[in-house]
Amino acid sequence: MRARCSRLVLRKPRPHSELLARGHAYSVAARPLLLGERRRNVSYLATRIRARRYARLRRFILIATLVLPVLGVGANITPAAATYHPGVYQWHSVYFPDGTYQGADKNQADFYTWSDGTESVSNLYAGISRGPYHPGTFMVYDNAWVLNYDGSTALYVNFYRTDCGLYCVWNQNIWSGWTTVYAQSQYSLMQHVIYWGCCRTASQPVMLLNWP
Amino acid sequence: MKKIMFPSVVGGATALLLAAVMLTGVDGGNVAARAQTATLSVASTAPTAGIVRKVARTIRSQTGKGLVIQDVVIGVNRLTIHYKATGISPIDFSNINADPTLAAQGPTLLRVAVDGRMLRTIEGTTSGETQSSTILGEEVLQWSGGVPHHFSVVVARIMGDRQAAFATDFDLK
Repeated sequence: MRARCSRLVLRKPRPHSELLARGHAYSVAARPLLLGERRRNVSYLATRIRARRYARLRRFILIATLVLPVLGVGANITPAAATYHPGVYQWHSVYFPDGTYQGADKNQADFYTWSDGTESVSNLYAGISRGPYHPGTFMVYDNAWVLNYDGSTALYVNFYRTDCGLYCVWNQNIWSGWTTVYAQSQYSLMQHVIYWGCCRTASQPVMLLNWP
Repeated sequence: MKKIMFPSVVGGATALLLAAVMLTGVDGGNVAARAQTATLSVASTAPTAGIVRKVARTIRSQTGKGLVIQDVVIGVNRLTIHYKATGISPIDFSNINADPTLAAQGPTLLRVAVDGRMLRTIEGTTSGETQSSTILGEEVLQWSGGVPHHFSVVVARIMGDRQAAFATDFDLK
């Protein structure tokens, strides 16, 4: 009895050749298609499976997009704590070797510091204010850049401002947007190059190069 | 890890730039300065290099503003004073030259005498945050070398704020 049941339940499917031998007169592949029927070969089935899978994914993304903001989920995706530093500035005054004031330049940036050690910088402002001395002098604002704290460049602003003359004031936003600064060691947030040149006398020309 | 190229290494570039200025005039100098960008843009000064001597001198002005002279850095050819000031109302940067005194002398003015000798200022930096009245300052002065002892510091104004006026004397320990 046991052997019989076993024979009934566990019998292997008969091979196709055996079916043919028992009177099945057609093969599966050769069966003619019915009206409106598409051949469901292996590649067709794979396509259907993929399509169904992508449909599920799309549905999940749609639901997540609608539901998660309502639940407040996502607020913790960004680093937990941020401190906003609006208008962090530096004024830099430069003097001739005889002690007379030559002018000042300005750097300013808005940025967030995040709890993961990164900073998000949003704006760069630059300024030049020239004094009244030494008409033969010139000053150039050139190429602000934002550095990562390891010294590598996170953002390079190719901004060049030519000499604007004695008593001139130039002050403007030179870059808007966002860039991320990675903190690794002590380094200044932003640097730029200012060239100050002067030829006070023909016999004793003096050149100062300064950058914060 | 600041990359130091000032002033000795930059000297070569300075000479090139200076020569260009002398030969071509101011506008040509600008072009020359631009041409030097690739060389100089990787450099930064290290004005605070030297021996740090703590001062921690606190002064309060009659108008309620505060000044703390934090330390003095003694370099080979420069002295650097670091200070912190509170209650400062900076003028707008664009308005510096609207005031003839500020246009001629700069928005911040410190007069520093060391051992009875007035020192010339090389450069000065003030930094802060627009929403705060506290600023950090750095004043770099020419120094001929040696060990300074007695400092006399007169602050006429900070960032155009004339009420930020202080005077103090101190000895380095």
